[in-house]
Amino acid sequence: MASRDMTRDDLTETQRRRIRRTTILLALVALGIYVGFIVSSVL
Amino acid sequence: MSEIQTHPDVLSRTYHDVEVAAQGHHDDHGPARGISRWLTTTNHKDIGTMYLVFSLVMFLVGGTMALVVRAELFMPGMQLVDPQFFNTMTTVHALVMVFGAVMPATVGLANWMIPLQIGAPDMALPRMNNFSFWLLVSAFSLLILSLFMPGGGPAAGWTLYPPLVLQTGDALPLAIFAIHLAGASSIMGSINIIVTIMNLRAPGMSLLKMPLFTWTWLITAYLLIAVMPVFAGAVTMLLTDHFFGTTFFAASGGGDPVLYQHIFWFFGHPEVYIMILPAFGIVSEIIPTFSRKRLFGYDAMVYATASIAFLSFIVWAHHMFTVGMPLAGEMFFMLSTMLIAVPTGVKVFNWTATMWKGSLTFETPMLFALAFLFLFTIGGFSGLMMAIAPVDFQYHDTYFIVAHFHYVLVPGAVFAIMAAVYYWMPKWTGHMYDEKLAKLHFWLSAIFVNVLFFPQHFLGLAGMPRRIPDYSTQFADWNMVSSIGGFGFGLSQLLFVYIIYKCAKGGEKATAAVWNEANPQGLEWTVPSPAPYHTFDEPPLVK
Repeated sequence: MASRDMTRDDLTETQRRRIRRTTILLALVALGIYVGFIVSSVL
Repeated sequence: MSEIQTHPDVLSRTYHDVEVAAQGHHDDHGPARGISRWLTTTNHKDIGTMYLVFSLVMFLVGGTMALVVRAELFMPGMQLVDPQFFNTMTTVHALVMVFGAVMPATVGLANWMIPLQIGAPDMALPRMNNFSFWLLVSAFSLLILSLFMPGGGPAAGWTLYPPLVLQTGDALPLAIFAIHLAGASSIMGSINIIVTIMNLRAPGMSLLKMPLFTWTWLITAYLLIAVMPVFAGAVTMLLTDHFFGTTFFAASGGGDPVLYQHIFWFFGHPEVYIMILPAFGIVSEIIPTFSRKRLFGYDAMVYATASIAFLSFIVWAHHMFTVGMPLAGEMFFMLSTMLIAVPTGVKVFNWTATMWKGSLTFETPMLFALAFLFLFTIGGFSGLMMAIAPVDFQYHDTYFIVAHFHYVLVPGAVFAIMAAVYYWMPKWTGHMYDEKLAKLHFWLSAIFVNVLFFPQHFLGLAGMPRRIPDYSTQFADWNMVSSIGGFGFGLSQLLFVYIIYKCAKGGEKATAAVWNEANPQGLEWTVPSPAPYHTFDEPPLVK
């Protein structure tokens, strides 16, 4: 691609770590709610 | 935000920095050429544009389905389509409008404007941003294709209640897969928005300095992450009931069809706020700009938004008073629903107070915002009427409900989206739109939307049930009026498409501040118009 979009290099190490951590946490919350509602409907 | 307004020196320095940075990057690093730009882009502005164009296409597709419904209801008797196809149209119209038009439009606005409003160079997860968009396109391609499956498309209403929905033909797994994909897309988009706002704000921009549109989207994104998996869980259970012999919702196997309704509405009510909170944010941006005043009660607006989001989780059973529930349950859901009027009232009063003694002008974004204020409030009030459990027994499943939620969603959410498009389009394209045509579009839309939906209150109160292709002759007159309004409103939107096209092609040059040269409110007005492909390579300073 000819364009220069924001890359990981533009972020500080702290920002990258926080972004990774928040993303994983939120994805796990979503997955937990999905599984939780199905499991609670079985019980 | 308030500090940005009161420090013009900060504004000018920010503007200068941004402009220099933008020019420096423009020559070397423009967008890719051809189709690959759109397929592989990770630029928030490109992705925002794609979301907005996609939602416009979906508005037209879903609108056409609504016109099929209104054409059939123009007169009593069966005229144009068979009942099964009529039900398919009401079902797919709703799914397309909710998940394919309104939500993607607000996501598109978020993609475009949140990085510009918080001084970020892009979204925090640009590749996931691209993936979210194309996943949504796949989802709606599947949903539209499900119309052509043997047995027809899904026809049980957008709520997909069992056991009726389990009678759907081959379209059922396709529709459920489409909903899963759209949900995954929404969740990824929400994670991106939260991560961006929490990590990439410009130095000095604390949470309580963020523009209201960004605030409402932050809260909306949390709502989405909390409830989209619930809907995904509900439709997964429908799928296993249909294909794998489970009986989650089948009384014959020890399950309970009412369980589905509880799960659906635990998702469905916050979903209403997912569509309306960004609209609140848009109106909170536009009214101060065209009143030449700061927003009245900024902090109260933020807390009211958070309160509405919280309350949206504890009111779901007001959608199902008639299934039968203990009196204590009815009382709880009735009173908690009425409580929502308090923070919503705070918002309406604050918008009104913002205009008080302001130097008001009435350009098209302001006209749409004002129409929102009046007409959304009508939808809110009819919602309060339905919150009263004993009264709801009469309104339930009548056209009164149809009138209520269309007032909330069309002159509510859709008018706010149109206001946002007119408000920010000069920033996107670098051109002013045709104000005369835009005002014509506003007046046609505002008149026809009332001709379309207001008579539905009368029909509902007179007892006309929703989701039927034929009706008693006593309902004929108002149905004819409503259908005329529907076609008028639908045709008016072709003007909207033309105005957008014309503005994208050219027109009077827009300045950086666009609307409020003397006192622009927000970082997006510090970058040139059109906003450069890359903005804020150097973080702007917010004091």
